[in-house]
Amino acid sequence: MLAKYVLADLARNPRRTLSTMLGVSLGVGLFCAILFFVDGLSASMTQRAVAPLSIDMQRIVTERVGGALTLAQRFDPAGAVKQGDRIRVILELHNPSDVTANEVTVRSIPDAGLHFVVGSATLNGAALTGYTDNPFAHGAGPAGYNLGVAAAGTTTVIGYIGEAQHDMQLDDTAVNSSFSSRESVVPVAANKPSVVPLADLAQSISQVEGVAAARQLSLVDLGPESLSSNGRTASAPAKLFGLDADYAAHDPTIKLIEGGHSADGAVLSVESSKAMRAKIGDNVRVALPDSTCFDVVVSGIADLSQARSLFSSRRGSDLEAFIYSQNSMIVSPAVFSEKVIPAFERAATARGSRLKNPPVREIDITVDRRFLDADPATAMIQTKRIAAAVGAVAAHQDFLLDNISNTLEVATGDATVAKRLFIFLGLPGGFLAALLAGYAGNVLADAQRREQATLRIRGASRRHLLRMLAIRTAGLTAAGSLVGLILGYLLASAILGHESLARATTSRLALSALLGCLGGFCATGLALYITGRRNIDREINEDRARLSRAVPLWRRARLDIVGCVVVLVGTAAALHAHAFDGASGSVYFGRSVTLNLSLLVLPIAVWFAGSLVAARVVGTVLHRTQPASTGAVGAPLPSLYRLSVGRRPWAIGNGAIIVTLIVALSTSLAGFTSSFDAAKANDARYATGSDIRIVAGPTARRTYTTNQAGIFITDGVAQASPVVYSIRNVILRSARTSDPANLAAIDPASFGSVAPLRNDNFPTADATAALRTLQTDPGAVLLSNHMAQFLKAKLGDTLHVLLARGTDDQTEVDFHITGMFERLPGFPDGADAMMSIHQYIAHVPSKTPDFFLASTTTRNGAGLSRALTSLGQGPAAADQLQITTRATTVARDQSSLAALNIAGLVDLDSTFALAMEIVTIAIFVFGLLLQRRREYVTLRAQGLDLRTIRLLIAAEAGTVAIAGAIAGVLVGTAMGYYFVTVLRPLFVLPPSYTLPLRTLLAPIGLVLVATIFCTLAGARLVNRLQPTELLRDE
Amino acid sequence: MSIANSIVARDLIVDYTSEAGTVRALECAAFCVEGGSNVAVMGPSGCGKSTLLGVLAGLAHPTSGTVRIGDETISGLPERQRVRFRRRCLGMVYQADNLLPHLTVEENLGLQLAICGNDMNTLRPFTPGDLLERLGLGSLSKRLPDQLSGGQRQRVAVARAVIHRPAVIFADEPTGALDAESAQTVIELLVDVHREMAATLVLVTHDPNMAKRLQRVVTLSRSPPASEQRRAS
Repeated sequence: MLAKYVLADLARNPRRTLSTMLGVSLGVGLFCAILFFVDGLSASMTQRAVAPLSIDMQRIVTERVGGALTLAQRFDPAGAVKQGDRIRVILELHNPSDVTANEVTVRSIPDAGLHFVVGSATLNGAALTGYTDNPFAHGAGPAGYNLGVAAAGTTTVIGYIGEAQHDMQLDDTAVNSSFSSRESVVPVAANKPSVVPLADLAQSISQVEGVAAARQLSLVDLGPESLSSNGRTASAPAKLFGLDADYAAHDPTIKLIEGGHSADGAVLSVESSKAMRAKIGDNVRVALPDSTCFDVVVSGIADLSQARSLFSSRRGSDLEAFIYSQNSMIVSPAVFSEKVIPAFERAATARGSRLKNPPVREIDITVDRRFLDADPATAMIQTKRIAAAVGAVAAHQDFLLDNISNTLEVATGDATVAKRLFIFLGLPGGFLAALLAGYAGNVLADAQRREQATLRIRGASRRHLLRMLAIRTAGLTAAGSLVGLILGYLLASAILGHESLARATTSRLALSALLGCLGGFCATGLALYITGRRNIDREINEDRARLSRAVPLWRRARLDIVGCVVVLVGTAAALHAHAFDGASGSVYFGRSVTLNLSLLVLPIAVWFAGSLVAARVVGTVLHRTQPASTGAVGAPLPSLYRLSVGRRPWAIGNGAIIVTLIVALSTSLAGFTSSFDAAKANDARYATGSDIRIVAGPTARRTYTTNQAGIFITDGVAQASPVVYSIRNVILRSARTSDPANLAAIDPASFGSVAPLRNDNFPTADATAALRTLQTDPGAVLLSNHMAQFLKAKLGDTLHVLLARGTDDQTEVDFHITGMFERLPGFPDGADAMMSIHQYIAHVPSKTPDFFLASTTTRNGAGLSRALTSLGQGPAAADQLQITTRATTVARDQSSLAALNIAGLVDLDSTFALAMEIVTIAIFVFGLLLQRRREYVTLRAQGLDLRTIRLLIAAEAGTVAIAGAIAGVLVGTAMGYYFVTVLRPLFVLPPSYTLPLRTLLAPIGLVLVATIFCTLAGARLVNRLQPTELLRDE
Repeated sequence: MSIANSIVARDLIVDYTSEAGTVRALECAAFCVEGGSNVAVMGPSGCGKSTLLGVLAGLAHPTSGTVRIGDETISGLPERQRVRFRRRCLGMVYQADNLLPHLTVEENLGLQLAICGNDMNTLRPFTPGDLLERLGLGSLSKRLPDQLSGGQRQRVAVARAVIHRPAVIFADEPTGALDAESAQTVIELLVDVHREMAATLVLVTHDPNMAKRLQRVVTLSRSPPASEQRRAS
């Protein structure tokens, strides 16, 4: 019965029903949209994180060259033995290779249950005498027995007797035997499974579920002058790769320029083919470390300058560092294993030789990314499962580098941070929706007081009214939630793109829908119910006028003061504890961004406290403007306005709170997005070195010298500057020590205007002074703090620099240290020293810049596009140039947080905020009409014209809108500043807070337009009111 | 019969359209009140008394028929002129006081004068202070309506209706919510003021005791036509 009455009541008052439902729909819609948005974004994080990976997994073969020895262990008798039984332990060391193993040591230690019988040891049948203990575990060490050499193709038999101390089962663990040699210093356990050949291993791994491909790769560093052809020798050290055509075909960074791969031929890098003037069909002679050589026919020429899979460092200390060698050659895996490996084995086993860089053999594994879950956490579980399966194939003979799982682990951390961040950024919107629902409920419940009074007169008890309220709230909230759910999905889909959202699993979306609806339902429903209940509990006859003059609860409880105290104390505590200093994320260091998300309470506290303070100010100012009582009332409009807002300031104040909250949210998000975008652009510019980086790759038709940077100054390009830089291109030597290092040679005159140098990067001088020193002092060099510490060098010290290390032009020059620096833009792999490029080419005349940095005339996206277009039509049209920009650097950023679609979230929040803004103004205006319709009708009956009434409504609504908008901008500016400060670790460089004034025009303009529109609509309603009915009602 | 503030209504029909169809709220062949006189309108609930008053005051449009007050046919006037006529010539009192809750007593009265502005009747209006003193409300002039009793509020409402010396006073059950004593005071006040100003008074009431204090009683019935009963003054 009650339900029927409530439903009929809702249907009879469609405007009231719809406006309340709209508040709920916006709340639930926002909750759902944010959760869907997070789902969609998480769904793209896996894709984003793994995209830059060149190799998903690497199975590195640990078998060293010259380490082909095997040690077999067996027992006689085998199986179960009884206490006191004597067992013969037999060890057979076999060298199946064709080279001798040196300094072979065998170690054998029986388990505690097996006691060594002194004097029982034999070597090839002969007794080993002179030992009072086990000669294979001799002394306290215990040391093994040195056999000396193990000649090629021989087997050495070792034996001894052990006595069982108790009943036991004999297996490999009963005796711990191993061997080592000079060639393979790491002890190898007895009975280790035989090494699976690389090709077989690749074949087996490729069968593992989840593996798309497993291809073998061998690589080795050769010394200078290892490659020669046509009587010319490539003087620089060379790098030799063993890979097949399939490997190359699946690696787009191996760019064949001419010819192709062949089983018995070789592919030369462009640079080495130029150095030796070798063409397809020519013979290349490869000199190997055992002083032998082999010839191979050139079958192709390739640009390898960007082949990350080949040139990424395999050393644990600098994994992922791109160490390019211009002098490179690719042969087939068969040629590599037949020609190169034996030569290295021979070199390694030759007496007196010391092999520093033995060949590396690995299986490069590509995971089938199509089946990876969109969420990084789930994808990581999948890749770890694949890694375990890969590791189980021929286990214990090598180790696995699981790059993809490592990357996904970082992405998982980032995704978690992102989710929390988004929920925090979205939370204010949710609060707002609940407040709006409560505000709507308050305004509308006020209008229902009369109905409730009538029902009470007819016998309805408080319990009846509460049940009706519960039914009404549940009905409105359920219907609003359904609409909100659809609205949220559509909006998230529109902003994020349907494809991104579709990547999220159905179960995840369903969970988000459930959580969003539940959260929205509870928050808005509770807000509606509580306000309705408060109205029921009010004394029915309580005077409306007294209610409208009543100071609101938040003001009486001084919540604004409490909020301010929370902000001040929280900020002071955070500053004191350095809580705003988080750690930036780094895939390189396997570290996710660390954000102290509890600090996000501060911007939200600023938001609430600021809005309440603004309302207090508005209320107080309006209250003070009320005129003293007099019978001589002036012109009706100003008098009525002043009396109305002066005597009922909290109606304006409460409306202004909601508008302030909305405008502040829009403002803060706009400020945060603007700062976020600017900071990310700055980070990318810092990593690139400038706006544009131009590399004249090996395929470039012409050479670009230091003095030809002007070629790249085209329309939209302000300045171009040449740079010489590569990894370990010099050796730095101080009075104490030396080390290979990365030297950057720059043009001091132009580098400062293209690169975003910061004064705090130069602790000993500012950036300009440091560059001026390089320009004026021919012997000046700047050294990184880190390198200075390593070299134990200080300012003024002489530094010996071996320039053009490993080339024909290498030369050592003495410089003196004129300054230090922390880090430099444009060198992600780090720069250890910096000098003038003019000094560099004075000593190394043949050297051309490795790249040019160019800055655009304007910093925005349009300026970059313009510069790119002009470069594309100019120098890049005439030659093959590799051009990267700050925009492509952002796209390549492996950090998942770089993929955060903050702008999308802001669009989402802003859309809802703007909708709420309209609804708030509408509720305020129509709420005024509901509460004051009798006043307006009385004024009409007294002879006040409709225009004046319309202006009166507009003036009150305008006061709310303008006060709310002004306060909102102020509060939002502070809130946005706190957002940026708290989220500082998202950026590499300290972000500066920027507020885009143009973006603010939308919420402010909209609130004013909504005021005008609602006032006009409201005035029409006043005109349609039935004065005869209203005036006689009590 | 004084023509300046006489009321003549003819062939009045007021229909309302609802979901159930058209409902006739009022049908009155003729309703005339001599200028300066007073008349009580009575009748059962729903017979159209308030509707008649609303049409006479220009607050509602008749579906058909004419209303003339003095020389002005207000039923034919456009909204803006009707509002102007209302502010200049009419004063209204209702069962609810309808005072603006955020205005003090004197401000409520002053506002009526402010609304009238230049459209004031030729007679000099009362001043709020004088009028309130006369009505014994002088000490309450600074109070807000919710600080007054029901009777006091209704007296203020009467004061507001007459402060600009309107030619016609319409009162729709002004004593309906008051106790007998307060009702008596209010009626006496209305009649006294109307006499003093020579205004025409039309009072809708359910109370025969109140009605008999006026010169004439018009009884509306639910079914037309309206019968008229003249009573000696």
